[in-house]
Amino acid sequence: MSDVNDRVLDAGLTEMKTATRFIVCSSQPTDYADALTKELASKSSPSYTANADYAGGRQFTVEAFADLLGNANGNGTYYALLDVSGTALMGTAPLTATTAIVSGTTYPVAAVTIQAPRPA
Amino acid sequence: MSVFPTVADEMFNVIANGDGLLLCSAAPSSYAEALSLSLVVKPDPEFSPITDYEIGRTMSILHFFDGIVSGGGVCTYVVIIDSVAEEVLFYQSLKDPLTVVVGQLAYLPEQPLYFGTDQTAETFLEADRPSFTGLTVGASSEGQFSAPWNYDKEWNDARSYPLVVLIPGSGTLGSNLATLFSNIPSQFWTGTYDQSDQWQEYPCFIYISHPDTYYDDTIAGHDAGTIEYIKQNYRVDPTQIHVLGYSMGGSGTHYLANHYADNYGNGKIAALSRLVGYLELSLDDPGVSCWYHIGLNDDPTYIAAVQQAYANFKTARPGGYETTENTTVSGKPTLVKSYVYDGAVNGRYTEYTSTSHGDIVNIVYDDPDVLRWIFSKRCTG
Repeated sequence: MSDVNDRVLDAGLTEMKTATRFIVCSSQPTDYADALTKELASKSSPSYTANADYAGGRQFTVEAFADLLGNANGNGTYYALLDVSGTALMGTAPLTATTAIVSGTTYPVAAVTIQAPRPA
Repeated sequence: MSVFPTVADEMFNVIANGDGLLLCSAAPSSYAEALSLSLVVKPDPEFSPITDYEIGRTMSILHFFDGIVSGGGVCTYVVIIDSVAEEVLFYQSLKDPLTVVVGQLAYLPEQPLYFGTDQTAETFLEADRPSFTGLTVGASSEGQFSAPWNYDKEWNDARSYPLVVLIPGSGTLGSNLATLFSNIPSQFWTGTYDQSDQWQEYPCFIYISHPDTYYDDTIAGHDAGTIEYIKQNYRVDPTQIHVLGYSMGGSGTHYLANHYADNYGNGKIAALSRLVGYLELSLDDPGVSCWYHIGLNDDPTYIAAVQQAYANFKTARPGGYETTENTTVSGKPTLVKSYVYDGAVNGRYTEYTSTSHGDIVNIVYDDPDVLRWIFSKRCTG
């Protein structure tokens, strides 16, 4: 059994929020360079909510946006957050459903909640 | 979610900035309680550099020989504090309890901390494949239970896991193991009643309900009690409890979610996957997400029941909107309706053409989107 202070979880979440780009990828990216090769659509400067409690730990939300721009054709299966200046893949997770992306088309994206669960 | 190593490092850095270490007789709920439970004090503890391990980053509290014993007894927790802010930064149970005596200096061996940044990179050895074993709690009949693959690895000591409850069809009432498992989606288990490779992608606890009478609120009460038992005895993530059911078990998903929410203050189910089921057509807790599945060659009564259950689901969650999509699963054309409310797709309904009542149990989970969707759901309240 273990537990951590909110400050510990918030430090990790705040680090994730240094990401300056939200992208959709054709498969799970393993690092920054790999993410760029798999990128199908992107949104610069996504907005984040403040860190907040949830039942299992701390969380923040990537706020919903309407202008995810397709820049290649393919099926998106993962999203990723990129720190462009630091050339770092800050986080990646599967989309809830495979999404067909067409280059030049814009898509709405629902809010994405990112959670830092407390240890067991 | 996989995260960049610096995310873990930033978290470890906060812990490493702690200015005191306590060895306590129990887990503290506050800074003041940590002080009162403390048997050993070590000012300015030292930490190792942060390094990689198999699936993430690790840092250790370095060993010491000079802990100041303030009270004799058995230490079971190591606690890192920030004495200026008067906060507990971190605590975890000791691998081995440590008996200390006043007047002597305390020795603590190195204590590793782990943070999994890429749990998809975890290696799963055949020798560690989890088996299903019998589990009986209270008045319920014997179900089958297995812990997540690699649950007992040291690096997962602080990790909690989702719990998946599987409820079979009525053909399994009072049956033997072979019949029970024949009602469980074939993607989920091996011929020797072990977890299939499927669960490497979603390591989780699995409990297979095995009622000996038709599923109703009473059986749901037994299964809710079993969920509580598993939560109390294993490292279950309480925000990720999911229920998957087929036929009688399809109705069972709703009986269980309703019973659990109504009778347990913390009884929150995150997501359901309902394959058929013609009873219990309402889902009371609006926080529960559900994906309904029906084969169009099934009994028209069952088709109507599932369609009604999905309609009830939407009615109880007003203000959303629906999209439709045609896809193919296992070569069968499907119509998928997605109900968006509360900012996300929290309801789904899929019709499978040319699919009978018996076929559907082994078709639905050929679609990787189903488990991906279920495991994306958490209780956020």
